[in-house]
Amino acid sequence: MTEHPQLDDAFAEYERRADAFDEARATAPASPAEQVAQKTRGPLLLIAASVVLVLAVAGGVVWLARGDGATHGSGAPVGGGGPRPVPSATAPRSSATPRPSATLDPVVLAPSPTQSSTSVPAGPPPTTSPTATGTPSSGIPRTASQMERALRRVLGGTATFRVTATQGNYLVGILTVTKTGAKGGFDIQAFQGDPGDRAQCEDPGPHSHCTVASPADGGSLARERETYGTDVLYYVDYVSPNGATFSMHLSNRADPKGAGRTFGSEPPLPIRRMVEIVGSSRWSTN
Amino acid sequence: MAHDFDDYVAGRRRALLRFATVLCGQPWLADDIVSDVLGRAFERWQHIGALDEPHAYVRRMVVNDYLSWRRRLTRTTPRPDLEPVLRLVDDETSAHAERDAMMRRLEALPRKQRVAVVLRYYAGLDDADIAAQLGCAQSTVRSQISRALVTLRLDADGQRNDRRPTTGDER
Repeated sequence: MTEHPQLDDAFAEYERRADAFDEARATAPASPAEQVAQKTRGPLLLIAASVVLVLAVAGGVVWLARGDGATHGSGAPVGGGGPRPVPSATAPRSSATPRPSATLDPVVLAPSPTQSSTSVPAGPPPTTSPTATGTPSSGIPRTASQMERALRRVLGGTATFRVTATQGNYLVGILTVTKTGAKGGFDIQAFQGDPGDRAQCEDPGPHSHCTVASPADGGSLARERETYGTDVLYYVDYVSPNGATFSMHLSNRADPKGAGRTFGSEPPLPIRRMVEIVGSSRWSTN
Repeated sequence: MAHDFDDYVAGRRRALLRFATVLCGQPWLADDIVSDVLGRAFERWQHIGALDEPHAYVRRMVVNDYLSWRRRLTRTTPRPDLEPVLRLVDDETSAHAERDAMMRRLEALPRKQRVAVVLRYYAGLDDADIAAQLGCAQSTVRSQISRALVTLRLDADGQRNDRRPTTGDER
């Protein structure tokens, strides 16, 4: 109970509505983990369906290119005789050609040494990778003060930052690039995972583009760019071969999640530079 | 000792759904948020499950999800298949005008003010913990709560306050 009984009443009513919703909801799978697994399988099913669709269209192109066009424009449904696409009667043949993914999904992310998943980004290769600067293999910062000191070491003189909140070694703040004065909200966190853990995209969807790569050091690196109107968010997640994981967000607004004052059209550092930061050898507290 | 994910979900899912509903006001949206968050937590459970208080971590994920850009763009109307349930609930509560008025004022709060109020008066967190969850200074937390209480027409000492609410600055 709080000192505000009206608030308590409102909270109790929300709880009651939540419980009623939970009970009225369609019956869920038996295992709680399975409920979650179903949720995570959804995107995979969508991806699989997309792959099947692309293959079907590509198959249609090959079929057309071979000149087997007896049924062009017939409008006949696709039957059980195989994946026969039905092109429009008036559409030019070339329109059936699938465009390259880079055309459909322009990105600004730089490719990695070895691309391992999702769509292929356009742009120049990064000048460095986590391998180039070393991996945070041990002695990762455990406290906010350790994290602050380490981040200052990692940034050197290239940027300064002001911390606005901490929890454990999780830092939230505003970063300023020394040379340009560009600012942006950031957060960063580190933890020790297990060897073999993979970096993960954070928020796959129509507003984001993410690639997961395998740097030469055997680690894993996810790079994501999200855009919502004029709000832009960069995210990098690096897992070293021994499982040490560093995740960082950087936004063009004061809050790393996209709230507060807007500082510019893009976050103050390029994703390439964020990769250098999370992959720096200067994180170690040893 | 590492916490088991199945045990965590079985024991805490309802509490998370309640918390998320208090936060966003809509059980269907809360369910969506909690499901998404648990999906992401499942993928990182080796890390989260090893924490002393995994529930605090997951609750922070819920707050972040509620405040995220993606949620700002999410649909704002209930799913058709759930509307009958929600209507029934509304009918049942129509007699409680004062409570409903408070809920409307809560739902009119800017998101961060609402999160601050929920974390303080529902979750019982102090300024430092709320600041960490919101990614802001403790003075900002106090300011957010102070403004929210005016909007809610409540005084900090718990008395009713019928002053006109100030205009939220984050909507």
